Amino acid sequence: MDDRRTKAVYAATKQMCDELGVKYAAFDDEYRMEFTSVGEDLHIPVSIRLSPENRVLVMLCECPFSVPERGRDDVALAASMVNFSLADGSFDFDRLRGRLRFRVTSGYYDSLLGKEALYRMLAYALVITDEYNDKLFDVALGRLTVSRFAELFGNGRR
Amino acid sequence: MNGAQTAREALLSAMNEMGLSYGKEDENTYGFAYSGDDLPMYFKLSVDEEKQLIVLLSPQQFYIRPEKIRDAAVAVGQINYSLTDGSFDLDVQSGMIVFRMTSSFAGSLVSPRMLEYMIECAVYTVDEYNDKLLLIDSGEIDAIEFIRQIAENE
Repeated sequence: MDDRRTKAVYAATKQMCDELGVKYAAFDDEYRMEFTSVGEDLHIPVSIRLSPENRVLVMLCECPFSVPERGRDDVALAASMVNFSLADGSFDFDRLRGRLRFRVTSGYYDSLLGKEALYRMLAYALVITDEYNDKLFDVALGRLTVSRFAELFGNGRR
Repeated sequence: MNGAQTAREALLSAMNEMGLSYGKEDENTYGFAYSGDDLPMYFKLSVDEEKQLIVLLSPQQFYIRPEKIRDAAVAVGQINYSLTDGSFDLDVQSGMIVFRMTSSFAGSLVSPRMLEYMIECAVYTVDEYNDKLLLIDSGEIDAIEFIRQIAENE
């Protein structure tokens, strides 16, 4: 397996974070970095991972709450509404464990993923997560119904 | 040559290399059909110059019935949680499901081989799950049992 390209993209990702002043924990052997971003309402744990096998960079923004059982089907519906309106990335919902996260990826197979692309991905992931994580939290707790969520944020179509 | 033109050239090169029989839908969009294990599949690839993205969409050839929307939302959420790349998007109003995958070319060099990977990954993923989603719609598969199997296979 040729790790040279993975090493190069990982180095570019670290450099971008350094330039942004991000305080991250680096797990270099796993090509993984983790840090926490402060959002408007909820903090956002971020994990950036590279897969040498698939040559894919994945950015994961976790929603820092566990969805109670009674709210899980509603969160699945609300997450679907958001995802259908997005051009990039998706809210993934693990209904079994009540875990929700935003994921955005980009491949670098035989390609160079530049700092501009990395910056756009990170900025986009944080903006979208920050936009919706508190609303999805409200749906999870039953403070916001799915119908009201649809009215407020629409089942927007791309 | 700007980024979008380079991306478009790489996309055409990838599809030609793969021997795909594709058609041009508009200036920036190409489409092709693909026969999978179970259901026919259709893929659209476009270059979004404004967002600096290559976008792959695969609209599924069936719609989820209203009474099964909740189950389908649970299923696609769990499927998406298990994926590294791409996502199934469910329109809860119409029941349409679209598989979506993107790759950025902003300030980057995109190779035809990367786009071949993107297409191969999308074909594999759609072929893997399209029949399961149809069976959830028909009620032949229980959604909770289905997501347990996904979690077990992670």
